[in-house]
Amino acid sequence: MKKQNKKAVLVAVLLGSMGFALVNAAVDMVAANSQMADIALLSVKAKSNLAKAAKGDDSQAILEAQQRSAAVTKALKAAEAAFAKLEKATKDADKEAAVKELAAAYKAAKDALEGPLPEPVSPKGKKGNAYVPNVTDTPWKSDGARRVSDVAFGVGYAASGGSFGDRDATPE
Amino acid sequence: MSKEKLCLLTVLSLVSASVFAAKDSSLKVQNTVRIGYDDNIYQQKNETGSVFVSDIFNISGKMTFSERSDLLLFWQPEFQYRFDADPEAITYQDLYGRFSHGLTQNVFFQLSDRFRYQDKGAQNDVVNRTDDNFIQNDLKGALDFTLSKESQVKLGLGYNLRRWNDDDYGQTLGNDYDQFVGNASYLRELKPNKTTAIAGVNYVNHSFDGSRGGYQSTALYLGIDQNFTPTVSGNLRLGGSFSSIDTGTDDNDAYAPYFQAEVLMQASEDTTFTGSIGYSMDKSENSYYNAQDSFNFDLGFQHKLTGKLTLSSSVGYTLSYYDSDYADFGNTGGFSVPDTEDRVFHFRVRTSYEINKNNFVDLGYAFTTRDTTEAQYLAEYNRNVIDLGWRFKF
Repeated sequence: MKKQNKKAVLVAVLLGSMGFALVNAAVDMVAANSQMADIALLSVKAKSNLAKAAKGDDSQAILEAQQRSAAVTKALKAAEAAFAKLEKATKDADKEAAVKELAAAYKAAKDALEGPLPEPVSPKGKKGNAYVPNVTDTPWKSDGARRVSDVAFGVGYAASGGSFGDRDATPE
Repeated sequence: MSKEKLCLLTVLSLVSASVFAAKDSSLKVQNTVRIGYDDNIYQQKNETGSVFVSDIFNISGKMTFSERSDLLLFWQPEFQYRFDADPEAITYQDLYGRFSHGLTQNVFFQLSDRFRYQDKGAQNDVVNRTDDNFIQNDLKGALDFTLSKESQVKLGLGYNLRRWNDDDYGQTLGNDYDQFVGNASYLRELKPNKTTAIAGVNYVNHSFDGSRGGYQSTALYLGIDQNFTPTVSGNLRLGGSFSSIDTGTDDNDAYAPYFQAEVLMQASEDTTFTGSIGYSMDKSENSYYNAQDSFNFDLGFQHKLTGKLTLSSSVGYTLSYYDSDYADFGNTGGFSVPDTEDRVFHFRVRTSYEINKNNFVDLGYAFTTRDTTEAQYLAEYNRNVIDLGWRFKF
């Protein structure tokens, strides 16, 4: 190959690489922007769910909505940090790491909103009276037995109009 | 300072301190004013009826401190004025707290405490003393260890006490008591979210004050929790309890079957059925005996008739069997008391109409009947209570 041709090929390869890199970077940013928009939507949905729950009487539902909203907000913050890293990154390795972090934050936000709670504060989601907890609850019973007892307690309490069903102290 | 004021201050301190310390918190307040008629206020064969006015206030708060910790607090005082009773005014107080904390991903801790204050004057004019009341405290703690996706071990400890303000009635006659409870169980999920098998042991050491005695009991059981369908679930426990009853003069060994079954059916979003049946040995609800075998059957039903009208109802039957070997000889000086049965049936129904989000009107009726095989020891009675109430919550 002639010297001039070699130069032309070198310039073409360099320009091609730069173009490819620019296109790649643009693709990363478009995908990242899209994920950020999705996470922001999840955050709005979580807050909307919380607002709806807060209008009701079920304290358990409110608590769950609060937990989910808090977890989505946490994921949104992680996503914003990852996006900022991606914008500043100059090395491919850093960009890849930022993209992975962003994907992880997106998954965390989606799971927080739709999946099981990240770290439940109670063994299983329990239903109960918003105003009156089962004061006869036994914490070492199985979750299934506690759930049945809680509902039965709530029905009995409602039927009695505010009594816990304690038997008389010494009714002889 | 009176007990009531001290209790109120404690509650307010606990609630306010917790609310400020919590990351997220929600607080609910409800008050019910009720007027009604009770045709047998003392629960005796010779009935004394009275119109009554009551106020039931309750406040509950749930505080979340972190993703792993939360605290639930609840306080419900009740004040009742009965126009034809002596004393006219009576009070009940219930304070309940439950703290939950995930120590690690696999270890979960719960601690609950229920404190109750109750006037004796509400129940019986035969042994009524105007200043008689008692406090009761029930402390329970449990640790859950998740061994694997399918297996779990639960350990529990409890301490329950009752103290009367009248030393003669509480300490000398042995109506004060202390009860220690221990529990260990192993749970294994056989089908995910459907079937869980359980094997467990319950230990109870119950001692009355004075020379009355008490009992120790160890129950061994096997059980199963089953989600039959997404809306029907239930559980079953089968086993036996081996007990030693201290009558104050002798120790008598006893065996009783241990059986518990419960079912929950949420037929629709608006309709719920609950049911339970059981047989077990427990502390005596009657001071002539230290222990009793109890058979119970309960049904509950709740249905939203319209968007604003809810109907709740419960039916219960309890048969208590008092064996003469369970008698309290410490106080009777060896006087022999016979085997006795005590049968209590109740039916309650209540409708609640939602005027708006904060205001409700309730109408309720309750019927109770009790009969026994030894009427000279245990009171027989019928009781009807009807009431109309206004409930306000915010």
